[in-house]
This record gives sequence, structure tokens and C-alpha cells, in this order.
Amino acid sequence: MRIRKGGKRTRYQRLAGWGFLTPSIVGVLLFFVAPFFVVAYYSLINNVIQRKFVGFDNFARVLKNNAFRLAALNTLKFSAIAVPLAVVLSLLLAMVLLSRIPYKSQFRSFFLSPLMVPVASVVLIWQILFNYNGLVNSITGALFHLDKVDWLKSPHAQVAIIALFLWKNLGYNMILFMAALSSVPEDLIEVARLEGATEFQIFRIVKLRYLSSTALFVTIMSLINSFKVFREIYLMTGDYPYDSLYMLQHFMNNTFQSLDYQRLSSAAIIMSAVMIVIIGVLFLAEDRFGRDVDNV
Amino acid sequence: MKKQIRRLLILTLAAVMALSSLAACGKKKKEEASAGAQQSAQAPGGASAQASSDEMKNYVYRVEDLPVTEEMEETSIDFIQYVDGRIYAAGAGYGESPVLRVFNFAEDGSDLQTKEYPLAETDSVGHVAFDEEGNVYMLRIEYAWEPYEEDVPADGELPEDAAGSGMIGGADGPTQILVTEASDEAQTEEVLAEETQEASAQEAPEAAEEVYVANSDETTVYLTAYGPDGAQKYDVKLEAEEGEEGYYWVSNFVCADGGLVASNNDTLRVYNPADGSLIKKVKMKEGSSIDRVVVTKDGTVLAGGYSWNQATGEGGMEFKKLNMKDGSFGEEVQLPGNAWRYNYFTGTDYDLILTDEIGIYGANLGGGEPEKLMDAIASDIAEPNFYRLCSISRDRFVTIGWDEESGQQKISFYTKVDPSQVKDKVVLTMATSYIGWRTKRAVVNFNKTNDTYRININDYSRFNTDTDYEAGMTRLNADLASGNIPDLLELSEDMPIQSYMAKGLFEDLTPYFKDDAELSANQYLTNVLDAYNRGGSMYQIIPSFTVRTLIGKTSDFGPEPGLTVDRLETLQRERNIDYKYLTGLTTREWMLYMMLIFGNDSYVDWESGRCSYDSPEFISLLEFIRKFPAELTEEDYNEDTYSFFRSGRSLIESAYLSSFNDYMMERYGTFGTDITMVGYPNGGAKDYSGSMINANRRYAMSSTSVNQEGAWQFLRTFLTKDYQDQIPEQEGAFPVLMSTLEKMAQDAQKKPTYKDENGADVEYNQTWWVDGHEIEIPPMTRDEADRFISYLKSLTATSSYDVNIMNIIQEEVTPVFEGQKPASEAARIIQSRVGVYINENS
Repeated sequence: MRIRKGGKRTRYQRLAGWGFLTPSIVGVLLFFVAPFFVVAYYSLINNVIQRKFVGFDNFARVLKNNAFRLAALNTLKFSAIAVPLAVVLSLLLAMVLLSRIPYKSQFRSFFLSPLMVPVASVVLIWQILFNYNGLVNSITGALFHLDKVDWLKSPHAQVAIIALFLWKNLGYNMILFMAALSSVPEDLIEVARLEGATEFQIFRIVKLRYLSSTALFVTIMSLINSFKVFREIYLMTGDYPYDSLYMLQHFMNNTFQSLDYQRLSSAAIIMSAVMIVIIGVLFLAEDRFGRDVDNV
Repeated sequence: MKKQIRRLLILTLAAVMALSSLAACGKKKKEEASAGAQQSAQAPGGASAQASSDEMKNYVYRVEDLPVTEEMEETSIDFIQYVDGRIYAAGAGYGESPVLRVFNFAEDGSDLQTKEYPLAETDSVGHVAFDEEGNVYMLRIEYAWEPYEEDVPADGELPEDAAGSGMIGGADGPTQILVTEASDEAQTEEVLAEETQEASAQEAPEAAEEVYVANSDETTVYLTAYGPDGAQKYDVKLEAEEGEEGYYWVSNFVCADGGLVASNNDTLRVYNPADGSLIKKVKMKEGSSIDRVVVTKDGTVLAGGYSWNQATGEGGMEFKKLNMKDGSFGEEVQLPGNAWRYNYFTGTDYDLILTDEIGIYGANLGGGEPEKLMDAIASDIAEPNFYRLCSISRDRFVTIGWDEESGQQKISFYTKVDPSQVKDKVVLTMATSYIGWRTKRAVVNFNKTNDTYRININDYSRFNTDTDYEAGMTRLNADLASGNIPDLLELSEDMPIQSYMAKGLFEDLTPYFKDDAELSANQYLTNVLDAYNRGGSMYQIIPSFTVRTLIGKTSDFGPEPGLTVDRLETLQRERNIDYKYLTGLTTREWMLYMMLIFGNDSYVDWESGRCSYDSPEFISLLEFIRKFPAELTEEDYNEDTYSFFRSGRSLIESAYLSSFNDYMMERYGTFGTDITMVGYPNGGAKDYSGSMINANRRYAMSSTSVNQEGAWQFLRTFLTKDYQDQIPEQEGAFPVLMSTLEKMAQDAQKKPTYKDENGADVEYNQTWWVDGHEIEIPPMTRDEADRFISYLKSLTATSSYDVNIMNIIQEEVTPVFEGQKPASEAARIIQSRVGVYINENS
């Protein structure tokens, strides 16, 4: 591409740039931004039939709704446990697989294989494992003489889903961390070693700094995936699962089903606000911990 | 600063995209719903279209009846065909001696000619078809009659049309029943039975009537052909082939190029029209049957039937072309519309003509949605007969039907009216998930009498498909969600009515009601009207209702309602009653269904968002239901359980009350002693009688209708005295108007009557047969009538079928019934899951 002296682009180049960007911008505006504003509008009217402005009444209705509060709490609980575990465990796995251990390739394939398993199969496997007459109950019964537990319909149901979430996501996160760890400059690590730093200090002060942007990405992806675990829960337990598995997406889907767009829209806006705050905090954290690396 | 703005933008976009990605995980139904909304806007006559007056004018047809001749009066005309410019209609003539009678006339109804072809006394006309050369082909059924034996019908009952002759389906084809009336006395008895609607099994085998049943193994079918001159060409016996046991039952018979096609179970047989010999035999694939055979405009023979795939557990209607040359089935053909909904006939301007209960449609193979040609409501026809029809052109059809008043069979021409000749009116749209005859009749009456408005019915059941019976409902919801709101709605149980009300979809009719001088002066059963409304607003009009309850002896349950499972179990133990007989004859599945449909309200408090499925009462209920048998044996069904309530072998009866007489039948017939409407178990709830109001129909007006005055003019008709007075006789239900209810009570205090030969009313005693004994049902006393009216006035609960709660409970109780899980564990899970559902929707 020909660039004029002084780095300024020609009018033609600017037009070409916008030309290439336009389809994406139109797509994003049409399919993401415009619906978002429609949702915001729906959250402020009484119903789609009368369309009277009601201020924040819908938000108040949603926040007072026990089902919404239960769903929000369950989602928060699940994400608060599953996301850190997904980040930390995948980082540990990445470090283990980068160390000098035998069968590294086989382990890598093993942890990546869940990505290839269709959701329907995953659901089937989990149902076989955690069913009232399933494998887990058979083992705990045979070994520890414990009473049967309907795992997916009990207060412990989230344990089974967290296990599923980790099994499904660790491999992908691990690969990202392995790539990030490989890009940490070896000379810095060697200098640190020469200066007598311990392995933990090297990890904390050198590697972690270089991993911050990857960690942020993995955290955001895991957070999004933690919301998407609804798919598996829905396939295993339907519209109305045991209360410990009732997630925000259940609330949204069921509300859509009952045509209550106002409640649905309000819940979506509340959720997006919370997401913006969480992602904002993550950006700030990354900004703080990874600033010196960015400036290298 | 710039960097911060960029960050904020990225942050927002990330959140929006994350939310959008979540939304993309929606269920299939959602996609269908939104697709439905789009399609509905394009669909002809969709609610969204708010069908204009001009549009409806295109569907108006005029009906003219062919004058009924003496021969027609004596003929059961069942077949009609358009052949080469003339219409042929045929059926069995039942004059002095049986004949096949064929009428043929010109397209304008002129030049009526009648021909008769003699039949034997034992003959019946199976099917008739005609060809262009004037030949008549008949499937003649020769019955072998045998005296009736009591155990022929499995349940010991004769069919409703037992007086005369009728068909009973059986594994080997239908069984023909002939009832001969031996004397005048028997005739009188029959009149009485009709008057009291007591044509029950106990009376049928009485000596007064000689009943004969056709022996299906001895019944034979012949293919008989007559030439244009009326002479018989041949009479060939058609036989079920080896391996196909039983009676050769032909369900369809058509005349096509290359042969006469008859269908039997899963096989098509093609016969040579020249001599009746079998040319070809074509079998559908295993697991399929042939339910329909139709010839298209170009002579293609299509055979369709239900096909069931055992491996996938899925089934649906499949149509295939019959290749007449090599006698094979071609590829599957996608017929327009829902095969269950439509009747298919040969077209003239279209490949096929389709009819349903409200219209006539033209359709071409592979041509997508059928094109609406005629609308019965737009044509002011309440009860069209579109089951036997032939097409002359897209603007003219001939049908065989019945006169609404006289019941006389008639041949009618439907001719399109020039739209410019149709009077202009403001058109209101009424949406319904299924159009019932009462609504249809009310709409047609309104359209005929109102000079300003007319109502068009948008029946969403036409969107249901062979594989998705809820497609119409999905589309209606999508229409409502997208703002395509009809002026009026006929509500049904499958609609989310509570949700509609909460969204402000319905107009509060209270001001209209109060301002209506005629209606506001009347007294209504306000408890019934209030039961279906909320917050003091009148969102729904309830014209009539029935009551569902459990009834037991007062000596067993006391005079007050409020049944508990404990009381039932105690009585069961004390008297050692078999569970399957406890409530008549009941399976576990039926008991669960009954208790959930009619007793569910006691476990749910929608106002507070609480439920009590983990209560000891509900656990007891599950344990109680578990004790009922999963299945009943044939011997069980042969038991005369009606007598069990008197003898004490059964304790309570699930009853359906729709008249004062129903109460009297229970009191004096079924139980023979004082009874109490104890209601369904109340789960410990206070002020809960357990008896359920069951609205026959419910109507609402849209809050966004621009023609609310017109909509009210229609709705108010259901509450007028004229309409309410017709309800007891026409609907067999309780009216909501007090004066009509009082009239019912007064009538119940008189003996029933029948008209004698001079037209005079003659009183007779109403009787009921129990365990071989005739029991007299006396007229009601004033005291009984007052108590029953008080009972009706005390009802507040409505029967509700919440599909989500039902599904959850049924899913969780199955392991309990199979002994895999304790009831308390299932109850804990039900409480949790239903609790979420209730919280979400309260």
C-alpha cells in the first residue's frame, strides 16, 4: 500500500478502509447495537401492546422477582467458583505440560479432546454418571455405603455442572496459557535465576506479568462460557431444573417463552450492566498488572 | 481521554456481544416463534392482516340447494363426482326394496336424471365411482347377519346410532349392527330413552328389540359395474388374499385412468374396469397404512396414510404417487396443508380442492400454502358440509349436506358472489386456537343481524402441522407479541391467559357491562364470572359452565365439602376396598391426572408465589395414587361399576355436572342416598371446596382494538337472556344468568315429557338401570333445587391445566410409582422445580 510522506493516508485509502469496514460496522449495528437499544426501549415501556412509558418499574419488578434473584445468585455462585478454577487449573496444567514430563503430547490431546465431543454426548455421559441410578451413586454406594443422591436434582447439583464445565473448558484455556508461557522471554528468566530468584518469584514477578493479558482473555472467555453452561443444564434438566441449577439464562428463556418482553429486557439490561462492571474491573486489573509489560 | 473512550466503547461492545451470544442459545421454539411472526404477516387471512372488508368479500359464496325429490328423500347419498360436465351423486335407496340410486344433473342443476340399480336385502353400498363413458362402478357389500350376542361389543354397549344400522370398528374391519324395532311399545320406549338421554346398554339387549350383527368373516364384497344403459356388466367377488384374514374392507375407491383403485389397510389394488379383474396390487412400506386416496386434476392417483417409524419413534402423513403403468409407488409427494385437517378432492382449476370446517381451498402439488377460495363465515354459513364435495370450477362447487333444521339430506351448489355485490361492513377479527360450532354459530348470527360490523374468525389450528400440533398456538403468540392483535379472542386452556391478562392484552369490560342497560339489570352468577377474572376487572366473558367434583355418600363424608386423602384411606382400610374400585374404575395414571387437574390449585398460591408440594398432604397423595393399578384388565372393564357406589364397593365418583338432572341421577341413581359434593382433596387448604368451575367457552376483547364498540356488541350477545335461555338445551351446561338457572331449577321439579302422536306433552317417569334394576329418578324438590343453586353459587375455584406443572410432576413421580424413589424425595424435587416455575410467573 502506498503511503504519503508524513504517514498521512490519501482520501482514496480512507475510503477504501471505510469500504472494508462498512459490512462489519453495519452487521454489528444491525445485529448487536440496534437490538440492544430495542431491548433498552422495551425495558422502559409497560407492554408491547400499549407501549406506555413506565420508567424503571420493570427493573423494580425484575429485582423483586424471587426467580430472578435465585437465578442471579446461582449464576454468580457458579461463575465465582467455576471461572477462577478454570483459570487457575488450566494455568497449572499448562505449566505442567511445559515442564519436562513424559507423554506431553498425549496429555495435551487428552485435555483437548472434550472440545471435540458434541454437547448431546456430553449431556448423555453426565446423565449416566449423575443419574439417581447412575455410576456415581453405584460407586459411592458400593465403596462407602452412602445413600443414593439425585445429583442433578439436589442442592449439590452445581458440583456436577462445575465438573462438566472444567472438563469441557480446561483444554482450550490450557493451550492459550501454554502459548503465552512460551512467549515469556527466556533471557529475563535466566537473569532472574542468576540473581537468585526462586521459581515462585520468577513465576509471580516475571511470568505472571507476561501472562496478564492472556489471563484476562481466558477469564473473560471463561466468564462467557460460564453463562453458556445453561445449554448443558437445559438439555439435562429442562426448562425448570432443581432450584440450585436455575440460571439467568433459564429466567431469560422462560420469560421469552411467556412473552414477557419487558421483564426479559429489564433482566438483560441489568445483566449487561453487571457484565460491563465485571469486564471493566478485569480491564483495570490487567491495565495495572500488565502495564509494564505493555511498555516493554 | 481518547484511550479511555476507546476502552469504554470496547467494554460496551464486549458486553453487548456477550449478551447476544447468550441470547443465541435459545430454544428451537423461539426460532419458530419469530419465524411464525414473519410468516403470519404474509399468510392470507392471518390475524396480523386484520382482514379487511374488501379481502373478505373475495371469499363470499352463495348457497343454493337442489330441490329435494321424493327419491332423494329415500336415499342416503354418500358419493358425488363431477364427470364430463355433469354431476353424479349416488347412494343406497331405502324405499320398498333396496337399490343403488344414482342422480345426475347438469352444472346449473337442471336436467336431473335418476337411475336405480337393484340390490338384495342383505346388500349395502360400499363405494361408488363413475367414469366419463357413463359407467357406474359399485362396491357391493353382502352382509351375513347373525343374532346379536351380548358380548359382541367389548364394553357391552351399543353404539349411539344403534336404532337403525351403523358401523363398529374392529380389527378385521367394521361390524354392522342392525336393530329392528319389534313393536309400538318398543318404539315408545325408544322415544323415552331419547328424551331422557338414557339409551343405555342395559336397555339395548331387551327382548323388545331384535338385534342382528353382521358376521365379518362371512361378509363379502363385490365389484359391480353397470353400463350407460343401466345394464349390469359384471359382478365380481373381491377376496381378501391368503394371509389377509377377515373381511375385505375397502376404505377408498376411485376411478382413474387405467383402472379402478381400491385401498385396504396398507395395500392398493387396481382393477380392470372392463371386467373387474385384479390388475395390480401395490403395498405401502411396512408400518404404513392407506387412509386417503385422491385423484388430482390430471388423473394422478395419490395414496396417503400414517407412517410410523419404529426406530425413530416418529410418524406422520405420507402421500405417494401411484404409477398406474407398472403398479408401483413413486416418490413421496408433499401435499399442501395439514393432512389431518383437510379433506382432499379432485380439482378442476387446481390439482386438488381442500376443505376444512370453515372453508374451501385450492392447491397445487408442490405449490406451498393452499389458496383460500371460500370462507364459510364470510358467506354467513354456520355449519357448512364440506365432507363430500366436487368441484365444477374454482367459483362453483357441489356438496352433499344436511339441512340444519330438518336434518334432511340435500345437494347444494356453492357459487362465488361478485365481491362488488357484497355489502360493506367494518370487519373485526376473532382469533381462536380451534373454532367450535357454538362460536361459529354465534359469529354467523351476529354477522347476519348486525348492519355495521361483521366478524371474521382466524382459526389458528390451520397452522398446525402433522408433526407440530402446537404450531398454531406458537403462531398466535408470535402474532400477539409482534403487535398483530385481533379485536376478539376465544380463549382456550392452551393459551397463557394469565400472562395475556398481565400484559394488558384484554380490555376491562366492566364499564361496557355497567353502561349496558339490558345486561346491568340482570342478575348473574357473579362467582363464576369473577372466578375467571382478576383484580376486580372483567376481562373475560363466560357464557356457560359445568362443574367437576368428587361425589360421595353423606353418611361417609359428612355434609360439608373438603375431602382428605386420610379420610379416603381410612374408609378404604375399614371396608377393605380394592383401590382400583375406590373411585369407580381407575388406573394410577388417571387418578394422578384427576388429582392434578382438579386439585392442583390447593397446592399453589400464585399471589404469594408459594407452593406446598413438599407438604405431608401431597406426599400422602402420591403414596395414595401409587396404590392404584398401573393398568386394568379386560375383566375389570366388563364390571358394572355403576352399581359399586350403591353397594359400597366404590366410595367416590368423579362427576361432571352440567344440569340439575345430573345431580338427581347421582343422588337417586348412582348412590341412592344423600350425597355430598366433597370435591377434590384440598391439600389442607382452608376455604377450598374442591369443586371446580369449568367454563365451556371464554371470550375477551383486545385492549388495542379500534372497534371496541363493535367487539362489545358481539360479546354482549352471550350474556343476553335470549342466548342464555338456549344454553341448557343447546349446550347442556349451566348458564350464568340467574333467571335462566332458576328456570332450569323449575323444570327439574317437573316430570319429563314426550310428545304423543297428537303433539300433546305426555309425562313419564325418568328411570335409571343399576345392576339390572330399574330405579325411578323423581323430580327435584324445591329444597333440593335451592341447595343445589347455593352449591353453584359457592364455587370459586376453576379447573386449571398448567402444562409445565403437570410435566414436572409426571416426570418426578414416575420413579416413585416404579418403586425406585420414595415419595418424599420426589415431593422435595417437585417443590423445588415447581417453586421456581411459580416464582417466575407470579
